[in-house]
Amino acid sequence: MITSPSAVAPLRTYRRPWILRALPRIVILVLAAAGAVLFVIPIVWMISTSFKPRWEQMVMPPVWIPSRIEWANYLTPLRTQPVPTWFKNTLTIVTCNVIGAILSSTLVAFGFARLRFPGRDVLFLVLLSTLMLPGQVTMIPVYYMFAKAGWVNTFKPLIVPSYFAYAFYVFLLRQFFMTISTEYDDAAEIDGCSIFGIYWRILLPMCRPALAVVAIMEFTGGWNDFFGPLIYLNDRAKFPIALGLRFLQARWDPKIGQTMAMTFLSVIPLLIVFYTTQRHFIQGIVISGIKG
Amino acid sequence: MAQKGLTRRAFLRFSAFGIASGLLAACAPKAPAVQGPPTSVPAEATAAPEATAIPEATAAPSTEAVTLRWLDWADQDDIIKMAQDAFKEKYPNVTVNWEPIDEVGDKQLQQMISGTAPDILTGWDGPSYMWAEVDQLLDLNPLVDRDLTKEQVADFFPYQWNGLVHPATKIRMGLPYYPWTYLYYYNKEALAEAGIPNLAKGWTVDDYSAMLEKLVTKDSSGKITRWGGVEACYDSFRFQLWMHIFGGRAVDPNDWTQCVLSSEQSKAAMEWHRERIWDTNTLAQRLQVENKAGLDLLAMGQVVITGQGNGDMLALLQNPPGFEWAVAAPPVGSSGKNCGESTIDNWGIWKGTKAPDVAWEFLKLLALTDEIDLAIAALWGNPPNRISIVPGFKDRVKELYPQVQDDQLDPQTELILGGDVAVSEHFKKEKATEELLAPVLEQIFTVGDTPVSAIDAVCEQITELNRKEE
Repeated sequence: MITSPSAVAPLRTYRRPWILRALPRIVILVLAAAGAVLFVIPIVWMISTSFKPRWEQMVMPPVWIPSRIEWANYLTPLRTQPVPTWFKNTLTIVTCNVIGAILSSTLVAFGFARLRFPGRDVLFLVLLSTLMLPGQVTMIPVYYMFAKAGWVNTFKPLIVPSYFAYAFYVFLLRQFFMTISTEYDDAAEIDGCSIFGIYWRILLPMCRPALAVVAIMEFTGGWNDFFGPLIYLNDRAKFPIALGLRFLQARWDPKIGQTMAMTFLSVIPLLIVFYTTQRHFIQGIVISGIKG
Repeated sequence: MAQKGLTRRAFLRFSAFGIASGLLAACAPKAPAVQGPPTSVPAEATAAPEATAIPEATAAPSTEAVTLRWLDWADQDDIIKMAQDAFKEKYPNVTVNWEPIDEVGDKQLQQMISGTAPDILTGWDGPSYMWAEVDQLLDLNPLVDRDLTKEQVADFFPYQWNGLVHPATKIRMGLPYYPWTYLYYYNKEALAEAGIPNLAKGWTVDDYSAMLEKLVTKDSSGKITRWGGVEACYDSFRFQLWMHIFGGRAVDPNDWTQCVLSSEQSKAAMEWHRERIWDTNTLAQRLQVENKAGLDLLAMGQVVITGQGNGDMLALLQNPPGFEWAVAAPPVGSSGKNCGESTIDNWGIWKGTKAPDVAWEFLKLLALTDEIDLAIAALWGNPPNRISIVPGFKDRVKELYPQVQDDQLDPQTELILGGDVAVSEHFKKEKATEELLAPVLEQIFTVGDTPVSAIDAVCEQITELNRKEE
């Protein structure tokens, strides 16, 4: 029997139910949400504890909403400790560090990426090998050196090293420089630009995302640095905030509420910096192919 | 980029310029804006200190400008200023700069080795022993003999005064700061509910046992909702008190290499605790209470009694819990003594100081000025460092904390004045000993899977370790 084509049942493409189609996305979202909750719990606990009365702070399971708001956790340290000075010190150190790290690391990275000279690759390997050296190994000789120079209890040991290029940043920036065509350099050179001019006028403006990565890493590293200030600074008035927080703890009372309150205040600048620059940060990491 | 952009000569020139700039930066004079205060310890004094000459004449600091660095606790700014001003008034040429202390003492060790340590040090058992063992503390004995009268010396608590002599080197490590002592804080209302009278002087270990059993509360499923108490047994320093209560010791008093933790009395103290933690569970297990501090557990109502130092009183005074509380001296055990445990908190002088006479004058001001020592005592809720000013202690605390009760202060003054108080016992190799001792105490008390007899073998190892020549 011949049937007309129109009589044949139309070919129906099989479509999975929407729930099956959405399932992978749902799973990813659920996992991401669970991960986010996991990461956010300590921050929420910190904020919540900063408002808790003394004897609610260590209750397990945690009390998330304080029975009453303990403003003294914020007001007492602000009244009794030089917290604004600690913030000012941190900002001074970190600003100098960011400028130093960017200038010195880009200059060194430019040399390794663009200049040819005997032993360049060997020198670069030597530079990279310093990344493998744990800080603990160099800590005592470096402290001794700074003590000899009379730099203990000044900001210099915390600032000056950043003006001598960090290997990691050099590596990151070199990778970035190498993604930029050398034709720019040649064109600039034909137009009479000097080597430093190529670095300063051509390449530096082109690597803003990578500079943002360096700046943010240096900013967060410097802001949170505890150990360097701990060993080099003695005067309370010279402490950065990360070290000052440690000294909020009294002899027998850890003063968790006050410490959490000041910790919360101390992370606010970090959060602002990160969220305002995260676009550059992520872009820089993607382009240079380096993850933290 | 073409090589002609940078010739080898140009590269070398750049490199030389960079190195020269670096050297110039490194050698540049200190910028005034961030420079530290002038110190009595010049930068060149970086080697391990040589023996500091003790001035023969009665200390009278010269008129040249001197700056002392003074390491002391934070949170007592008014007292620090009081001491600084008093010294400035007496010696206008001397400036005393205070630096806050961290909890550890290792930083100061590093500073001592590098020649950058403070002149005046605040220490206690661990740090003072550590600094003395590496020969970084100035021996105060010659200065004491020269300047302090017999009456002044006799005014310090004898256990602290004698405990400040290092057993091996025999140097005097410092002058007493205050006596930290171990007390029992308890919830008076919970005791009353259980029909137990407040703890009176002379209460016993048997009273304690009976009380703990009465104070445990459980829910309908039999789960414990409140333990009688909690003890810091895992802390070998604090546990020494309990060995004394039972008539035992940790270290042979005549030979600090000999461990006596395996004596019957010391083991009886351990067994008493192990039974109550693991067999009857009237004392909370450490993991049952998430390793929280005893005072938190007391304030949160998870225990009724806890042992803590007298300085912890401050947290209760500043943050009153929702119940009435009091303190008691430790109970009397089979030793029959009113045992107490004290630290050797002290002010000492770094051996590398360039101004030992000035530092000593400042030390005397700190340790022998009634106003300063009473202010410290009142602020921290610890009795002062000298017997003669203890009577003024209570009134000074009441000025600062009007709500304080007699039964929160009297037991500790009675204990430090009339109790059989001992300072911490020390092995010759304290840190290495702790590494052997801490795990077995943890197994016995925290994990609960090891009998007390396990201490026998560890005790032998400790003796062997301490007798082993380096």
